[in-house]
Amino acid sequence: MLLVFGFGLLFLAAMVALLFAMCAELASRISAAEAGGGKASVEDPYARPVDRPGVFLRPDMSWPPSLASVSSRASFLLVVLSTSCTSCRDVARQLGDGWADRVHGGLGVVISTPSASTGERFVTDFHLDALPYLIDEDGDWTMTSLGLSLSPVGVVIHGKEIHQTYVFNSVETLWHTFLEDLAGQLTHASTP
Amino acid sequence: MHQGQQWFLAVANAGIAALLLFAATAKLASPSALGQTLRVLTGVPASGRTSVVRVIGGTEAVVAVCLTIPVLRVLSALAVAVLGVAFIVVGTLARVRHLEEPCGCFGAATDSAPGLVNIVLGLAALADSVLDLVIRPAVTVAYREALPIGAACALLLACVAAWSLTGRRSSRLSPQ
Repeated sequence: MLLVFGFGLLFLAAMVALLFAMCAELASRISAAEAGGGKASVEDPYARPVDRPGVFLRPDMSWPPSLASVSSRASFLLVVLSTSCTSCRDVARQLGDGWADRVHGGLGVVISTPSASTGERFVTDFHLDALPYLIDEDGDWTMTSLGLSLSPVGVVIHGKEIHQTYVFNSVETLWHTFLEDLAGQLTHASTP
Repeated sequence: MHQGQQWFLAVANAGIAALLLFAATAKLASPSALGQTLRVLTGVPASGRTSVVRVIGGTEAVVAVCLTIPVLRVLSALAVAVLGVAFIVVGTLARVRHLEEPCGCFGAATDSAPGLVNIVLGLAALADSVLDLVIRPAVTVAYREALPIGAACALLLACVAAWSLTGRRSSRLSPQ
């Protein structure tokens, strides 16, 4: 009888551990979202840095041809979206609303998606084809090249390195933050 | 078989079973971090797939449960030895290559890179499997009943310990 109780208890403990593991996963995601203020409305726009030590350009990474026009620049902004996140759709809607003309080739989009067809549909639905974009199946490229598993994020790349990563809800705010970062880098570089 | 040895073995097996179950549930819930570590360590992109990490987690869970069943003790001790060697190899490789990726061995509960902790836990698993193969207790009812209860208690303790770690990390990530 005690043996049955023991295995029942072990099963329950394993379920508690599983629940705990899920809570830990949620906590890590919510923490990143809180770094962005935890608000999704564009009425309260934000772009706040995410401090994740594992996010950096891997030495053996290579830029895909579809992002060549943007990755050849000294500084650019990479926006990582996912087809399965609601806030990414809001961001995609903003991006499709004439941003290709405003950024002059300084912004690329990575679309993390479970299948290429879903990614292509996302691009068509939100008119993202005017921007350089990559359809990233299962987020493999983003994970292996940047160590990133979060969206939507803006990655500021300067001098072949990730300068900063931001969670954001407004492309306008993110772009201004990127320009400020860029100006800061130029000032820093010109200081004797 | 000395009764003290029997209880020592019960505690060791329950502890390792709890450790493996804790690692297994974490891998099943948050496979992405370990996937990235495996990709970097092996250089094979497919090794980091979610399904691969979940198979590793599932294997750990099966081995942990088998460890609490006395009749499967020798078989599970061999499996624990294999897992222990794997932990040591991962920890050593990560240290040699100065890996900076979060390990993900315990899911999202910890964010430190693999290294010394993996080596120590691997050695503990190896020591437990050696104990299992060397000490052959006459299986008493008390021993059989104590194993799953002990493993369950140790598993709950591991959750409490990891909870405090997660809390600290969350506060580090909070906005200024």
